[in-house]
Amino acid sequence: MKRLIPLTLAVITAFLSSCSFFLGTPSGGANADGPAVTRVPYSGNFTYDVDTGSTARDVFFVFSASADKTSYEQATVASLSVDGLRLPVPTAPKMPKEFGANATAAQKIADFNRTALSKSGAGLGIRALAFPGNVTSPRAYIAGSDTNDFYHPDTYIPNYDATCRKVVGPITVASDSTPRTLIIWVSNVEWGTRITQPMVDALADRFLKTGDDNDIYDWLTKILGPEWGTTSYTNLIPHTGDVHILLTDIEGDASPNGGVVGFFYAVNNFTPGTYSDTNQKIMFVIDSYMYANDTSNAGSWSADGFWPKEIFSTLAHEFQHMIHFYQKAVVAGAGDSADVWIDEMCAQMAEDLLADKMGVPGPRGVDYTIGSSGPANNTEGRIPIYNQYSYLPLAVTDSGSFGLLDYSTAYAFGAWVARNYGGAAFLKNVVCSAYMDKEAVEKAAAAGGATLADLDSLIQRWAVSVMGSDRADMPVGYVYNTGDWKTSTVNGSTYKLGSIDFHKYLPYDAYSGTYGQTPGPMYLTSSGPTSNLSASSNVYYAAARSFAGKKSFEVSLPVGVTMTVVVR
Amino acid sequence: MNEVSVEALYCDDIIKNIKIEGRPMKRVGLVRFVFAMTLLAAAPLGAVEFGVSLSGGVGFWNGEWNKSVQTFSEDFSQSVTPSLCPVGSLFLDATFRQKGPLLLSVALGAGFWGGRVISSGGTAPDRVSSVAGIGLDLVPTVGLRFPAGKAEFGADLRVGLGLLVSPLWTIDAWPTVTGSAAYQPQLVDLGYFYAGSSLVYGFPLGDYALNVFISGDVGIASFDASSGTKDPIMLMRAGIGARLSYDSSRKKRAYR
Repeated sequence: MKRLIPLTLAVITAFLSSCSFFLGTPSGGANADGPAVTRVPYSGNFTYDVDTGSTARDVFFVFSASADKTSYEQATVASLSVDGLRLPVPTAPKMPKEFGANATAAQKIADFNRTALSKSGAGLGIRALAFPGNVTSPRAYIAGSDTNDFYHPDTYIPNYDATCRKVVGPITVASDSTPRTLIIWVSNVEWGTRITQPMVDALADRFLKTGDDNDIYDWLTKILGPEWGTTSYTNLIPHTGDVHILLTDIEGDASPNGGVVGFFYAVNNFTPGTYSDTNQKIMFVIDSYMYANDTSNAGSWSADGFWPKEIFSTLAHEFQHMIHFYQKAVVAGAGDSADVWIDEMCAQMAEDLLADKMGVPGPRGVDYTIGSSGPANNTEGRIPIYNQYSYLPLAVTDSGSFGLLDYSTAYAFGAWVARNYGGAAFLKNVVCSAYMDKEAVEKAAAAGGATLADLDSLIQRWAVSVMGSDRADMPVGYVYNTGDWKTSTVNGSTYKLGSIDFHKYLPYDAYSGTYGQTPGPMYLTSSGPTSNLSASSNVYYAAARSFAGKKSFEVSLPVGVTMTVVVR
Repeated sequence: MNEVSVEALYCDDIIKNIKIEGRPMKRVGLVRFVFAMTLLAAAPLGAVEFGVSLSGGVGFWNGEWNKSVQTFSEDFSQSVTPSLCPVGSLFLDATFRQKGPLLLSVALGAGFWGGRVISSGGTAPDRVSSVAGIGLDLVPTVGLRFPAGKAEFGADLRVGLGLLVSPLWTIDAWPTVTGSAAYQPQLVDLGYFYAGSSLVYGFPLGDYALNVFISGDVGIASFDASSGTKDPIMLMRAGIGARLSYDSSRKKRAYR
């Protein structure tokens, strides 16, 4: 028994003195040098210590604000800070009761599209009474002779005097086995001076031509279904199989280098008895100045030029809006379209999925033949703006607030969910569901395999994925970059998404028009912006750079904000 | 014996609360129970000995913290294995013994609680996540001792009323990086309760006696590292320890 006493004490002492035993330091794993990532599971004031040993590491904190706006009612008194540095405080995004009078035409269109059907009074009662539906025979358009005065979406007067310049079809399409005819209109003031027949032919050739799976119409409708069809709503125009594209100077700004590239305005899907300024056509509008911009081709217009490629990508973008309105509001029975951030996210996902097929860089901003993350210091696509404004909110539900910067946020998120949760199938699941808000995204992510599919979890995981996008070995659910294409197949068609590394894009300041010198997302430091942090946003905080040893941080974390630690 | 009946009554209350309401034990009832035990233990029933005990072992923690770690790790494509965390305790006690096997004691000391989860596999580095906290405990105990030659053996039953006096620590350890946080739960969440038992073997050392024991405790608390939840967590620990006690009357009594 006397031997037992020292033995017992020796064992206890050994236990207590063994640091590794207390910490439980693991020996390694398949990727021992990979980024150390953990989620702090609590809020309030606390101390966070990081010990990187003798190896220099970067330490980042990501603060993710919940998309649940109501959770901020009590949090506005708390400040988010690290070591006394006050970071943006979460607040709810502004939600005006009435749409802002100062909204741009594009914002008004987006707002209208979101609620066009419910505003029209086309509720279930009307829908039920309207059977047998509104099918009608298509009229024949003749290029060069048919004219039309299109309503301007902002002035509500018909001041787009245009002439039909191209008719393609009828072509029976696979999406619903009925004929489609593409009619391209060009504003008379643009014709001959800016827009020429080869330009119109090139545009038509990209959008619809004979044969299956060889144009934007086929590629996108294979995922989402047709853009229009027989409906039982009496205030929606009949299904004729015609799809119209109008080439004109949108907003009359004569701008060949930016602005509104195109728009789909759902008012045109309605009868005049519902909306007096309807053009009564399944149509979208493309900017003529940008399409005709040939500065990147030494003065000779070519379909391979920068702006024509942007326009081709815009065809997919606006066509998604067109399909989205029909498939969600009418077919799925949602009654309205999705929140603006979801609709715009889907439009850019469509561009992304079709980029290599269309032969354009798309919103990724990388040559369509390259499946890897592309060259360093990239300034193309949507990501440079995201890198500059990484702290902006994702779920912008107010159309009047959705601007240029928000497109980049929506794309960055959409590119991530598509690459992790089903690719083309994810897009289909969002668009073709009856959900109009974040639930559409959550359901689609869950269907794509996300175990934590609530938007808050997705937003947090998205941020970590952005930070890990320079690695090709991130876990499932955190993937932007595989070093190659990521493919998905819907209805027999395969779609490819290229890799993305945010650290290869220079940030772009949209106000000064200048690019930053350091690629990668915006990391807040002591000189970072201190404005409010909106719901559904991430703030990247660079806690320490190239740091070796132990460091402590005093963190104040409001309720509704979660903190993720990334050491790499 | 009447007082023992009172104990039994409170036990019935506790069981009833647990079974019927499906919620944590009522605090008021438990406090009264512990108070009664303390009074019992402090009653002048015979010889008094004073002891100090030290124990070490492993702890298990089951609550929102575990769920949070598990959810995150699985989302990170890693498999999760609940594991045991090193824990320990240090107590001072006063023990009242009378002729016969029964003893009653009351102890005051610090207990170390903890839990651990190991995340491995996938393409991320392995991670060991631990949670721990130190509480100040008041522990009435009732025990039985039986002679075994010069030594004695026996068993103890105890209940503990604790107060978390340290921050709640969470530690994530990767192969080359360690991240830890010290979190202060809200005041109303600091208290906890537990019950435990020990098997004891003791022998005299002059005026002193040395006991070695193996023990186990199961507790319920409402402090946890996860925000926004108030669900109770279950704490467990098991270990071995030693107790050194002094009794001025031991020479006269000795172990039989």
